[in-house]
Amino acid sequence: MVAARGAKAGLSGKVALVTGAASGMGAAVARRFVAEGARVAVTDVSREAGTALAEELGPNAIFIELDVADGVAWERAVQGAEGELGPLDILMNNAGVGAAGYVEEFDIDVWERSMRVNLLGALLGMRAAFPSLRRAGGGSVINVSSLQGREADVGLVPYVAAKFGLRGISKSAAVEWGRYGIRVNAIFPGLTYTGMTTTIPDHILGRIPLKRSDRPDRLATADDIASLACFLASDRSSYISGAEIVIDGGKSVRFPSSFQDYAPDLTALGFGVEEPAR
Amino acid sequence: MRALGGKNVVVIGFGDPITRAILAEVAREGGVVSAPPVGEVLIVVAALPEPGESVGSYVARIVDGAADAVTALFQAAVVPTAGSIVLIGPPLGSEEVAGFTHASTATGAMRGLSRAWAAELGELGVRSNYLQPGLIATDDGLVSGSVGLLASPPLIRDGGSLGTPRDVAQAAVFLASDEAGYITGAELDVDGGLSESRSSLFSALWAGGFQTATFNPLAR
Repeated sequence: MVAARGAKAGLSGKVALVTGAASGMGAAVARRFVAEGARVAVTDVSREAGTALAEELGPNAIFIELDVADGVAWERAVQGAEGELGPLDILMNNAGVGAAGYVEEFDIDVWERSMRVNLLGALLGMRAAFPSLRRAGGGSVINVSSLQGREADVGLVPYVAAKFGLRGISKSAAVEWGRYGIRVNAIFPGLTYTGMTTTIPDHILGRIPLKRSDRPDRLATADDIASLACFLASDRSSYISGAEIVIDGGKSVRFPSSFQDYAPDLTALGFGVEEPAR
Repeated sequence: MRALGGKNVVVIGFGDPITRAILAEVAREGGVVSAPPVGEVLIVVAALPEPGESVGSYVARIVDGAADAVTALFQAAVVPTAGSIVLIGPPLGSEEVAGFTHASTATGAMRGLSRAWAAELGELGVRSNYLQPGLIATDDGLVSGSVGLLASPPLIRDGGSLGTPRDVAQAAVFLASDEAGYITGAELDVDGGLSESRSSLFSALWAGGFQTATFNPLAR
């Protein structure tokens, strides 16, 4: 599919910065952007994986180490990307961390880390990228929220709050930056197969309405997310700003989301925290 | 390969600029415009109300038109291995502007229809999504008479801040294509941010010199 779309060169000549791009969704997006003709700054906290991906992608990709919660690092990253690749046309705030906790019992460190990485990180990124996006004559910002950024879920309040916040900063930027020709949209992925989601029980998968012909389960793939990112980054969506696009196979249509069903194994799902004792 | 390469596409519309732009975009992306009931892609463009038409009969006309098309496709057994439905509401349908009762009501009905189909037809690999156009400028004045009623959308592009029929068509083709293969039950605004700014108050306040104890936007 990458090669098929690549023939179209939908992002030819554009410069993109993608956060959390060393693995998972971010890596799929970086690959697709390069395949579509863009030059891409792969940023991540993981130097080893990020460098390897940039080398794999060839001369149209560079790696820049970036902790999105660090405002100074952001300034350096944008400067570095613009210096090597040119002014940014596309910013994709993809980096995120899982964060579990109940309302009456949560770890303040988990809360603060979620707020810093999942929410502040994207805001710092937009602030740092703004002058570069303006020098590019306008552009497209894509913020990755989550289904839990539209619907609350059990045992995830630090994550839910940050991902809801991401909606707010996306809309704020959309209304403030429209005058500069900078579009800002948010996407809301459902369960996505990234190698960390192999333990989801069948009865959960059965709650996703869309049956796929290309996968045995009903999860999104990182490629699905990359396709949407590519559309939003391209001029084909040049009148779309402030939009919220759910990409979940219809899960949020048919059933209320219920993370409680997987709470026994939050760690296996990549949330990195044990289920809060209750 | 183009986005709709080889797919049979049924477009239900009327002779309006958005429908014409969709037909052109479908062809550009390799789709084969087909007559019902042969097609794995169905794109429905809401007609505009007739003069004097009641809200009820307008909504029924749009909903029944879309539902009849889907039923016909299924009776012909063409869709059910994989397919995609895109419902396109009337421009400004989500703005609840006085005098737009028909459009606002139809928008609600079409959103519900699209989500219900997403839930029901997913098992067959069929996706269904809703597209909401905002202010779309057309050469025959489809919405141009209403432009003065509203603040402009936030997004300003070269050539003006209004959308074009092709903007709507490109988004419709994306939703219809395999690129959007995991998107179903979704709603996509193609409006330049209009729906985010309709209750905007502070931009006028800031422009008028309003400031808070801690934030003076005029100092920016």
